Order: sequence, then structure tokens, then C-alpha cells
Amino acid sequence: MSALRSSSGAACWPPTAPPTRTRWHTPPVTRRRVLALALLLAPAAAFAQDDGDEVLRRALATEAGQVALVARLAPTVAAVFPGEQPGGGGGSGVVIDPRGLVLTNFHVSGLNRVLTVGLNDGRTYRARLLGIDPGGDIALLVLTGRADFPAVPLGDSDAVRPGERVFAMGNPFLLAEDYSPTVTQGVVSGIHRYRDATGGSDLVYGDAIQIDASINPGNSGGPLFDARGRLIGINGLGGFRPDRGRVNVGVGFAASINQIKNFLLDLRAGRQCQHATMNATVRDQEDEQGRPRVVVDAITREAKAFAAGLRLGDIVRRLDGRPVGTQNQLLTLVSRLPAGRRVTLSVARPREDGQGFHERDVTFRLDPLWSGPAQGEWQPDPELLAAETRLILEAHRQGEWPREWRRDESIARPGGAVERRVTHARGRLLRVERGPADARVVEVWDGKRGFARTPDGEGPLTPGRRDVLAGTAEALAALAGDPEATATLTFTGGEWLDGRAVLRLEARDRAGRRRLLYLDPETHALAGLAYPEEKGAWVEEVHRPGVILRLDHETGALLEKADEVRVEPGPQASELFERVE
Amino acid sequence: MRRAGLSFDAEDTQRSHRAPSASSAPPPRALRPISLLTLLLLLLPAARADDAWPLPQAAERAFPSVVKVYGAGGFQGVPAYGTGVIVDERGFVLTAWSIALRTEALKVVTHDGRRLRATLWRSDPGLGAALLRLEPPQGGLPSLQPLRLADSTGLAPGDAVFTIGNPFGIIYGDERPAVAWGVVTAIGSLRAGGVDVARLPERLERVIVTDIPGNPGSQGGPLLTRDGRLVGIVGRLVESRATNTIVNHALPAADLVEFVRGGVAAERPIPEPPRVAPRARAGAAVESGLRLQRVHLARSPMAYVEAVVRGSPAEAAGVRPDDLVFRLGERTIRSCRDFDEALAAHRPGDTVRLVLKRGDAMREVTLTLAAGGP
Repeated sequence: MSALRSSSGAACWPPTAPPTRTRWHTPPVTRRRVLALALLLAPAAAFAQDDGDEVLRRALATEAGQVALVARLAPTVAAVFPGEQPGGGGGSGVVIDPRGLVLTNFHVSGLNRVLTVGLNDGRTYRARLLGIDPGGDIALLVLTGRADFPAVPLGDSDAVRPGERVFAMGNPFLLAEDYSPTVTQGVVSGIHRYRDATGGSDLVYGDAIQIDASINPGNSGGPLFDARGRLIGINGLGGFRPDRGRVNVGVGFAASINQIKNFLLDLRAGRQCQHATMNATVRDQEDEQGRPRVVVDAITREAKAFAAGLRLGDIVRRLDGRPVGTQNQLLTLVSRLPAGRRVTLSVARPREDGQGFHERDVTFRLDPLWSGPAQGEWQPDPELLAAETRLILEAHRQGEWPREWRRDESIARPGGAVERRVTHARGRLLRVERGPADARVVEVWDGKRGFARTPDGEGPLTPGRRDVLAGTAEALAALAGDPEATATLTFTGGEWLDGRAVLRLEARDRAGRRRLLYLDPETHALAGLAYPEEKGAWVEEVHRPGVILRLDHETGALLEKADEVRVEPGPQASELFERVE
Repeated sequence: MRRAGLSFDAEDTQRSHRAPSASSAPPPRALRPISLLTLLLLLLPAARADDAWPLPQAAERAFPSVVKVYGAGGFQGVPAYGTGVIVDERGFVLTAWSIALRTEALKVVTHDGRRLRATLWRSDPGLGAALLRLEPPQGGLPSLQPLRLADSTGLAPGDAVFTIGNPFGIIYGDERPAVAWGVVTAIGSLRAGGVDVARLPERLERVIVTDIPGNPGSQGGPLLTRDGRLVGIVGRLVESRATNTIVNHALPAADLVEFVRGGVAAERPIPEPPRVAPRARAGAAVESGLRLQRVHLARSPMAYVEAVVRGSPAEAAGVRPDDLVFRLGERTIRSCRDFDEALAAHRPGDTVRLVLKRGDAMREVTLTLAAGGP
């Protein structure tokens, strides 16, 4: 097992948790990078008289480029103080959205609902704690006092290569009283590092970027930039050797931005993010050729992985297609995902006759792994949550989505049966026609009651079918802003749908029926929804252009697929939604 | 044309840009400042692109040759884990010498995560290096990608270098070891004093000192130039608790070529050479030929003899390692510092009386002091 045998201290200043074996009165030895940078720059200045030299001109241009890059990034770097006043302890942060969303470390923010953030304009801003990710050591703040904060784009930390040059920015030792950040430079030492909780720190960094740029107390929560100024991580752990009195050893860790992206929408929804577990443990083994492999050595019967078919002794080959060679790699892959994410584990099971393996895929939703405050202790700030929900709904309603429409689907099921289904919608009213022409079933929800006409006769909808129709009709009407809609909508975080992150809104109508509505985070268009079927099993409906997929919400198994879906916006006659006599 | 501390491997670039034909002449000296600036350009991040930065590619090329080494250790600050470099496709791994390598249970993990048994094939504490030989598993050795030792003689302070290693043993299996970069800060001898003499590669005339922090586990990893040439092996952690300093150093490739060549050519493991006592400390006026155990402690330790120089006055007088110096002349010796002070009061040619404690017995010897070293 890997274990950083140095004390890897949380790099906030002073630490929010009582440090072990740490004395804070002596500033640790700082580092060489700034000096090295100065040495790098010095020759260019020394040769500056030799103008006309093409190389010199380019060197100076490059230098100017770097200075400009740092100048462009500096306004986005925040000094974060967990309290109503600057001073005392603190860390760093970075603005990722012009309306003032700031990423920092959870070990900097703690559970302080009100914080103070200093930017390099020399001003301090009031910040409120929006969401927390104790398991990933991340917190999201929202600033007030300005409408257009300078913000940085998020990079792709999976594209980062070892040896690549990086900049760490922040406020180590709270040096800058005017909040102008400190820059340190280094290289990426390693990617996808799993740093478990050892050596005086209880922070687990699941998918971390290891860097040799100087990270010191106070750098916590600050940005790690690639050479083009894209945010690739949040600096959080510095390596210090306790036996040598807080000497920086050039081994620092940043939470990768791709991991943070997986939790960002949950953070925006004001939630306490939940990391994930398979509820199984694995161990490293070697095959006959001495090659490493990972074997399931314990699994609980309650695990969703068990229900999906994962068993003791299975050899884990891949998770969602990514190869797994060591226990650390599997931990890294799982710990960067939120609870509830559906994953596919490719496993090999030794055949009973000892000849080779059965290869199989096991798909399930990851179980929650609780960390941080106990369940229920953290609740979203109602005011902030309402504001986030309002923003999303306003963005959605800017799109001109029809209130009335007719949808025609040809549905294929895995068994081979094909069914035509026509849906009419008008506000909260819904009509579904399905089945072949000679055995057509018509179902109607008129906003209060449900009716059905089958070849056998007519009558009220069964309670189960009524809830299926009514719940969806009410949820969609609420999304569209129908004044008569009875459902309320709440932004509850992010969901992974059809290979991408989407916004999740939870709708709950007067009768307590729940629906999950998924919106595209860019266009805010409806990307899909989830609803319980008659018997209670949830269905995930995925909307693609011209295609609708309906999947088992738990396993992702395809229930039905509609190709050539045609949606015709336009008025729907009111008699369509009247009692069918 | 190098400016002290500010040259960035100018010659290396010229070399790599030169066609590999024998006819190409070295570039005129006047070109050097230009290539220096070219390098400067390469080293500085461009706002538009970082494609000129060569480290990711160089690291990518080197990774398959870097291995994790696991020996016996974990006590008294000796890490059980380290790093090594495959230097020969027949299964030879170059690493830093460590007491932890003296074990039957030596294991090497290659870049693809294969765990192989290894033998300590050749070791030389005085050189600070060890050569391991991988034992072929069933089906033979996997295909190995060696890195050849490059010419390290042109290396100078200010040259950009990087290392690949396993600090604190944080990675294992097929995970890639850690990259760290910095510059050569000095090329010189570690014998100047003040550091733990007993743990130094004392046979090396010079080492490459860098500003890349050395950590437990980094030792044995490659020291590479920006273009990926293997110019050294990261040495064992040398630190002084008295001054709270670590000397981050690497063993120059030039001094390891013979060691590797001899080891690879050998039919069977080569026995470790006997330890040679280091020369007199620089500036000492007199030479007793007696070396004390100056382990790093906050207070000057008792004057135990670590080694005796061959042919020296101490050897002639019959002083042996592990003797405790109890008196020198009329002075009672309680520490190494007492011994140094007492000795400094004498001149070459003086005859002094030593009282030694050997085991449980006390014995007295006389020795005639020689002249000190340069």
C-alpha cells in the first residue's frame, strides 16, 4: 500500500484542524521556484541592450507572455478568510464564474456560512458558503458586491502530462496584505495519484495531481494552472517533513479539476457532496507472469455491486473502460465519482475447470460513502438554493419551448416488439395513445382526473397509470412556468446522463409525485427525465435529437428505444383531453 | 561563454540539433549566447503554447526504463523502497547503494507493474552505487528498455535537469513515478566537512548538486537533461541534523560507466570492495590517520573510531575501528569535538599518547602525527 510517510499537512494557514506534531510559530523554509524563475528571467534582462537580435526579441516576448499570463490570472485568485473579517487564519481560492462562484478547500472554509474573500483589487468581498464536498476537500462560495468577477475557464486535468509546467497561485503564509497572489512554478510530478489519509492529515485526495511547485500553508484552496492559464486543480496538500520542522519537500497535491467537475453541480445546489464506494474491497495480486491484478476480496450482501452480480474473487479489469492495474487505480477511479453514478465494471471470473476466465460486465450505481458532517447536519441555505433554482429556470424559459405539442414515437423493445405511441400535451394536460390500431389504448390526464379507453371498454385510469401520467404532466408544466402547475421545482445537483453531466431538478406535485428533470447545463434544454413506472421501478428517459431511450434507472438496461421521434409543436384541440366517451 | 549560474545546458541543445554525422563541427563559441537564449525561450512558458517545453516528452521516453526497488529497511531512517534505472536489456538495474539492498528478498517492479526478483550484483558504498540483476521469471525476462549512461562531463551549474523517482514510496505497481525538475546548483566534492562522512560516497571526486528536493525513495532514480539524457543517478539522502540541511545530489554518469560495464561483464556477483577511510579533512594541520564516527546528532558524539587509514600513524600504532578514544595526551576526550581540539594543538612530528577503550579493556598507544592534507 502506498503511504506518504512524510506528514502531509493540509496547507491552510493556520490549519483549521488541530495539527499533529506541528508548530506554527516558525515559518517553514520557503522554496526555490520563485528564485529559479528570477534566474531564468535575469539573462533576458542582462542581454537587453543587444536589440536587433531576433532570438532576444523572442525571449523577451516569451517573458512578456508569461508576465501577461500571470497578470491576467491574478485577479481571479482569492484570499479566503473563514469569518466576517479578514485575518486570523485563511487560505486561497479561485473565481470560476463571473457571478462570483469561488472554489476553495473545505478545510479552509469549514462550515462557516459567511466568509470574507480578498481579491487583488485590494478589496474584500462578503462570501457565502454554497456547497461543501468534505470527501474531496472542496467548498464552493458565492461572492457578493460585484456583478462581473474575473473568472478562469476550467481545464481538462485528464489531458495533463507528467513533466508539464504548472503555476500555483495563492496566498501562502498570508503574505499579501493587498491580496495580490503569490506565484510559484513547477512541473506535474504525477497524475491520478491516490493520497490516503496518513501522516497527521485525515484528508483523502482521490484523483490528485502531484506537483513539485511550492505549496505552503495558506496555498490551500488556491488554483493550479497549466501553462495556458487553464484551471487544472485546487492545491490542497503540501508535503512537509515533520522531523525536519516543516521543510517543504517538493511533493504537493492538488485535487484534479475533473474530479471537482463531477461534484460541481451538487456544490451549486448547496449540497454536501457524497463520494462513492462499491461496498467491496479489493487487493493487489500477481498473475503467473508477475503482472499485477486486482481481486475482489470482500463484498457486502447489501452492496449494489453484489446485486448486480459482482462476487468474491472476481478480477477487476476495467471501470467504465479505464484499465485497472492496482488497487490504487481503482480507488482513484471510484473516489472521483459521486454516489449514485452508474458504473460498469469489467471483471474476469476464473472458470470452474481452471481453464481461463469468464469475462463479464457488471453495471450498478455506486453506494454512498459519507464523509464530513453527519447526515442531516448540513442543509442547503434555502435562500441561496432558491436563487440557484431561479437562475436555472429563467435560463430554461429563455428557450422557446412549445407549451403544446404532439409527439409521435415508434418504439422498439429488446424483445423485438414494435409499438407506436402518440402523445399530446397542452399545459398540464396529457393524452397518450398506444398499441396497434385494432387494440389501441388511449389514456388522458385532464389536470384533475384520469380516464382510459381500451378495446375492453372505458373508465378511470388505474391509480398507477394515473400517477405515471399526472406526475410527468405536472412536472413538465412547472418547468414551462405554467401558472396552473401544482408541482414545485428544486435544483438538487448534477446527474450523469447519456455520457455527460446534466442539471437535475426535482419536481414534487401536490399529490407528492416526484419526477427528476434533467437539463443541459449549457442550453438549459430538457435532456431527459426520470419517473417511476406503475410498479414503482424508476425509468430514465434520455432525449437525443430524434431519439428517445428509456432505461432501467438502476442498471441502465435498455427498456425501449424510439427512433424517428417526431415532435410537432402547435395547438392541441381541447377535446383531446376531455373524457373519452 | 558560460555565465556562472546562468547557463542552461547550451551545449546539449547544440548537440541534439546537430546532425549525427561525424563531419559536423562544434558550433562557434560566438553562437553560444544565442542558444542560451533559445533555451531561455524554451524554458519560459509562452502564453499561446507550451509545446516547446520538452519535459513531458522526455519523461514519457524515460518512464519505461525507471523501476521501483524494494529491499529490506524501514528502520533507522533507511527506506526499504527506492528507484532504479534499467541500464542493460539483459536485466541490469543501476541504483544508489543502500544497506537496504543487502537482502535475499530484493524485488524490482518494472514500469508495467511486473514484480521481479533481483540480486545485488555489484555494489560499492564508496561509489554510492549498486547494480542489480533481475532474475528471469518463468518464460524469461520481459522485454526491457534500457537507458544508456550519457556523457555527464559537460554538465555545469545552471543546467536544467529533472529526476524521476518514488518519493515516500507513494506509488507502486504500474503507476508512474514522480517527475521533479530544477537546476544543477554545483558540481563538487561532498568531503568539505560538516556532513556525515560515514554515509558519503567517499570515493567520488565530485557529485552533481541540484535544487531538486531529495526524499526517501528518490534515491537511485535517473537524473536527466531536458532532452532526456541520463547524466546521473540520484544519490542517497545526505543530511545533517546539526545544520538541518540536505544535500540533494546525484552521482555523475561519467563515474558510473566503468562500474556498470564491469558489472554487466561479470559472470557472477562481484563482492563489495572494503571500505576505504576518507582522506584528512581539508585544512587539517595534522593527520592521525584515525577517522571518527561523526553520526549526525545535535551534540558532538563520543569519539568512536570509524576507520583507520592504511599506512597511517594510527594504523602503525594499532588503533582499530570501534575503539573509543578516551584520552589524548593529558586531555580527557568526551566528544569528537574534544578530539579535534586536542589534535589541533599539536604539530606534525609530535608524539602523542592515546588511551583507548576496546571492548571492556583500556589500552594505551603512542603515535607520531603526520602532516595534514591539503
